[in-house]
Amino acid sequence: MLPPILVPSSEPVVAFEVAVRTDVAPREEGALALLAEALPRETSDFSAKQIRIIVSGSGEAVRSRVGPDALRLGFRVPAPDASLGFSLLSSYLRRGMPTPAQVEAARARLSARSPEGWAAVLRGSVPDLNRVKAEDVQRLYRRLFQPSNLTVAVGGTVSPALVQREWQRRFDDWQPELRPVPPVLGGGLPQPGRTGGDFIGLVLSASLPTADDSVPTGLLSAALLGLGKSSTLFQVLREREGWSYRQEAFLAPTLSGWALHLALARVTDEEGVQLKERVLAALTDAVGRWTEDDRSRALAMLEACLKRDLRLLPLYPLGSEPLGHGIGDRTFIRAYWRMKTGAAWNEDTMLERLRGVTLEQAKKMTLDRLDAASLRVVPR
Amino acid sequence: MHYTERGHRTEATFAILDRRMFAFALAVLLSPPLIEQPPRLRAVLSNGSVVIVERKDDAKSTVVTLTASARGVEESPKRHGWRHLLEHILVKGPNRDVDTRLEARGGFLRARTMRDAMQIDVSVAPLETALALQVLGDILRGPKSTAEELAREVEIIRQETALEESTARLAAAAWTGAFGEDGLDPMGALEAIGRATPNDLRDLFAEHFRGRNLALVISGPVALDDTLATGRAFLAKYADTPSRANGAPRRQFAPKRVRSDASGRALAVAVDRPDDPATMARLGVALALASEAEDAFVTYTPGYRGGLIILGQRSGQDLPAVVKQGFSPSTGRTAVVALAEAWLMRQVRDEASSARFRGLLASIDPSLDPERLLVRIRSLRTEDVAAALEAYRSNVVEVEGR
Repeated sequence: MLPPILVPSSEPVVAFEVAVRTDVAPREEGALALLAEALPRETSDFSAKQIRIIVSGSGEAVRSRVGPDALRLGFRVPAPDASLGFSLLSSYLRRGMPTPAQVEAARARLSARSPEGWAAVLRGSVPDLNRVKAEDVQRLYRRLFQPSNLTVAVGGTVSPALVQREWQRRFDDWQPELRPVPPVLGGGLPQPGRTGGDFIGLVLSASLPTADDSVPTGLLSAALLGLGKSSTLFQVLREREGWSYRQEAFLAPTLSGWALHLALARVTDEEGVQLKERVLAALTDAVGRWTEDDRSRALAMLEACLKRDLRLLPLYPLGSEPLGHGIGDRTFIRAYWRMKTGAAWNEDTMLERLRGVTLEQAKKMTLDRLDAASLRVVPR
Repeated sequence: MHYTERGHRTEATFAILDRRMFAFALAVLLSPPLIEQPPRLRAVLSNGSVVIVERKDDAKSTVVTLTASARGVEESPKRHGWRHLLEHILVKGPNRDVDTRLEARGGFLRARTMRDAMQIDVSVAPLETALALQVLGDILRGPKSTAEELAREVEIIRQETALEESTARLAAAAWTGAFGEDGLDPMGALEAIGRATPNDLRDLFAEHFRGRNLALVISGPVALDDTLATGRAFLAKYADTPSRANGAPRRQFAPKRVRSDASGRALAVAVDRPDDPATMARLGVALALASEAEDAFVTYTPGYRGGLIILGQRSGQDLPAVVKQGFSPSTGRTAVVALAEAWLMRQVRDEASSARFRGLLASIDPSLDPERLLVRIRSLRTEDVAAALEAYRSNVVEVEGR
């Protein structure tokens, strides 16, 4: 495992963020959901109460979230407790396999909870929790929590010397499992979700080409489409047509790359397919009329997101929302980006690449994506 | 919008006073003033408005927040939701170019309508305070709309209402259960909103945004004196016109149980001003109880008429047991104080949240600020914590969801 990425900050905490690559089959999504729910609570070294006390000084809970291609595990400790934080990190990564009792408790909690509102639109499918056995979750933990499958970043007020010392002490001897861990086969396929409210959700998605400039071109396209209230989605779908209150355009990862997504929620009796046709017609027309002023506006907003911490960057690593500018999110994006691309996350570099995308490139990318977009309707 | 805290599942356990918890709480209490003390200036103008300027040298943006107290324009059945509609129209600007002008320079506007205030905040690049004030100045020329535009906006509000989550719906049920027509949800009722005319909105604006109701906060890497002078000049233009009477505190309620079609449950206790010790005690106790219950949340928005602190649970069943079990006030006091302080820190952690929170407090009372709340929190006594715990057991509006 590569040494952790350091993210210096003056905040009096130390943030530990882990990006775990999750190349799982659809039948394993239930096990993955249960793993993410069970994982933060306790490990074989630390009880739930002990973990709560360790992180309480930072004011935030341990969080574990699943995205399209990664599991995020993150927590913070007060700066003086950095060594204890490394101890907890090591425990999560090497001895965090949930017990059967923890898996059952996670199943009960997840079954009682369901996303609502906008989260229900973006959620996608609902994993099947019922057919997952505890040993499936344990096997998945063993498969995913391997040194070569994790990227770690440490942010906040912590000395590089301490990080190096703790890292060597706790992870230098960590060897991968020699025998491959077989996949979970017995799980059920995920099912389509529902909004649970009086509205339907419409999500149009199209994968980006696998080219070097795809991400900046896709990001600029997403910004032109949906970043800010002078963006195309807001001005056309909401202001002009009155079709929705909330609508977003963003990039989210897939297992093999990235996809551009458009999402909106609407109270309507109309069929999703009909609404899709009207939305596409309206957007195709509007995109065709983008000007250099639109491109400049989108770049100004992207710069505000990247350099001034405006929490609207249309890049959703976990598929559901932009990252914030707190130390946790700033640390996580660095872990995630290295996991995903092999490169370092750097706001200035990204901005430079964005400025190199021409209006014509963004238009073409957007129109091609709209043309190729697949539709997912989230019913009531 | 409420200040809602979720996910405090792993915050301090207080039932047993653990060595580490005590050490953390002690560190918090003995540390230098928890809220950083960047230089700050405040002025109350002759028209009753308030300007606050806060210098934050490490801020990456300057945020200008205008808060308009709802004194004189409180929600009523006849005008239920008109303020929300006003917000939607107002922030477009009279020439419908507010967002274009801001976003071309990387600026962004947000607005929210609460029961006791409306807020508009503009985030701009550090040296663009003038742009933010220009945009706000245009907005303060008043709403400009046609009947057709209002109809379309009513439809958009209908879409917005459908997206409301359980926490908001549980809270709305608690407010109307506690205060009846005095606790109407600022989201509004579509039927009432649909009756508003462009003239109605202009009249409402004139009452809502009169001088005495306004608080302007500018937070960022700004020069204090010059920015204060700019802020004063900005607000001095707005006359303080006589208002219709109101501002009376909301009436006390008797404990009761109400139903909601939202999922989950909630307990609501009444509070007075935010600097009342009982308010901070009830907030700290709610946060402590929430940390022990599954999928719990705490909602509190300071207001000039008092209001509610709501302790709720979206899924999970253990909130009633957690409240019943409670904790020892004497050993739990330290954790209650620490949690309330941590909550206060979050309200002012960056320029945007600080501008919003300070503006909200100033709209209640020009002399009210987070520093005073910190003093109240640190002065909480065991008796205050005990009384707050008892309130969650015996003097609540209980909302039962599905």
